[in-house]
Amino acid sequence: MRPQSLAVATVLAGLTAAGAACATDPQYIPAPASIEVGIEGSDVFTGTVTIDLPVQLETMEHLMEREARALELGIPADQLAYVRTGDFDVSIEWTIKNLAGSEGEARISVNGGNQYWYYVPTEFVIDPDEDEEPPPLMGDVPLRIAASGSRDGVFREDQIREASIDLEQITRGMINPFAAMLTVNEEDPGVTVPPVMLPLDDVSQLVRFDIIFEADRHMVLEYGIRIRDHRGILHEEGLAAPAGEIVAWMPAMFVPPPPPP
Amino acid sequence: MRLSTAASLVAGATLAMSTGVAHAERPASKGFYAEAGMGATGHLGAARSWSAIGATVELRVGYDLFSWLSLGIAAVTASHEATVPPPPEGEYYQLYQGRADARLGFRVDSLAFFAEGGAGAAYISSNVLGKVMVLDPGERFTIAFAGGGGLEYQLQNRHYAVGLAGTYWMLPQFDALQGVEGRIFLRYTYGGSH
Repeated sequence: MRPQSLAVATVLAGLTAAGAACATDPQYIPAPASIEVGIEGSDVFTGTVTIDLPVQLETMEHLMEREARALELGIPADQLAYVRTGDFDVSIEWTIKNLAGSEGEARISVNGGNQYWYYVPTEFVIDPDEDEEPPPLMGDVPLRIAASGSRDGVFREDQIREASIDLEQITRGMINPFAAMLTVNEEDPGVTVPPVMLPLDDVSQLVRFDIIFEADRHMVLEYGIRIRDHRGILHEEGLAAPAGEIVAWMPAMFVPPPPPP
Repeated sequence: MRLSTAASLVAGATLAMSTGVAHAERPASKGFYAEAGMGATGHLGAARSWSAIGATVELRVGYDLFSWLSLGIAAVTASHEATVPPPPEGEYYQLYQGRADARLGFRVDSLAFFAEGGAGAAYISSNVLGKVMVLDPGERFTIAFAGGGGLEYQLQNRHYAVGLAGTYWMLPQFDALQGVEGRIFLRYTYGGSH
């Protein structure tokens, strides 16, 4: 290769790398607080933190885009979420530290909500003797942590996308939570939200995360949310964003309809 | 004896000078130039713990006002693994710098030595260093200062030179983040020789 060609190739490679990096730059939302349980002298072995994603207020331009998309799909505009699964790729990274001097077990569960509903598994238990509590949207896997050891993990982007789809199915799709969570929908054309089928990228995105940490001894959970924002609507100041500049999510708790008599 | 020693010294000096003159005549173009380089960048100070050494690519264009003074602009990108306390773990970020700079230098034989310095702006691709307070919430841009030097070897073709360079940079608004960069480069200069 001639030196001149080499120089041009280097320039092009640099510009391509820079462009590719800009296209998917992630933003990190650090945990507002770590969750520490099992502190000596206390009997608290479960802790929960709720995080709302700091999304900018909907602009007139975004509203018009959403209305046009809703018209295309044949649903009222208020039935198409402002933040949809095609807008964000979200993952949650975590680290558990065992602060006790003996091996123990911990579990992390993640529930949450979209802009319409949030999910509480216990709401599906009508008769505690008969009904089994459905699983959380993600996690609840027992993890053994060595004495004074630590363990890292991540709820991947595809898992959180699937959880968004599951929540849409459970709430507006009226599907049993066991069925929704045992089915992987990533290859499906969409989710049925009567009377239409929403394409997967138009499903309501989880914008609220309830992170539940349980351990049988003194442990601490540290975590952070990583978001790749394809639409540029995440507030750049994260959780430090002024309240007046972000959407105040107010989903309703989803209560399943009573069984038919 | 003293006379012969002095004569030898004079002869030696003359030979050295004539050799130097001959080599100084190696043609080198002067005018608009473009330069592409690659290398590695590492951070200094406390930030060294939060970022691994990363690959860097640097592009420069400019103009030789004189054989000893050039003005130009530089675009630099570096990719680093963030080594902040987990989580997150194994995440990368990119640091982009754009600077206007000046380069002073002189040529000895086919080698040129130079010092350069400039100022501009920098952008960081993610807020992953916010966890360790290098960035404030929402902060992505900063002014940037840089200075360094290096050497350049003029090839037989008057348009081309290759070189080695080192640069120190500092980003005041990113908690005075500092780093050093080493690179090899290829330079192409348009125009006639001097």
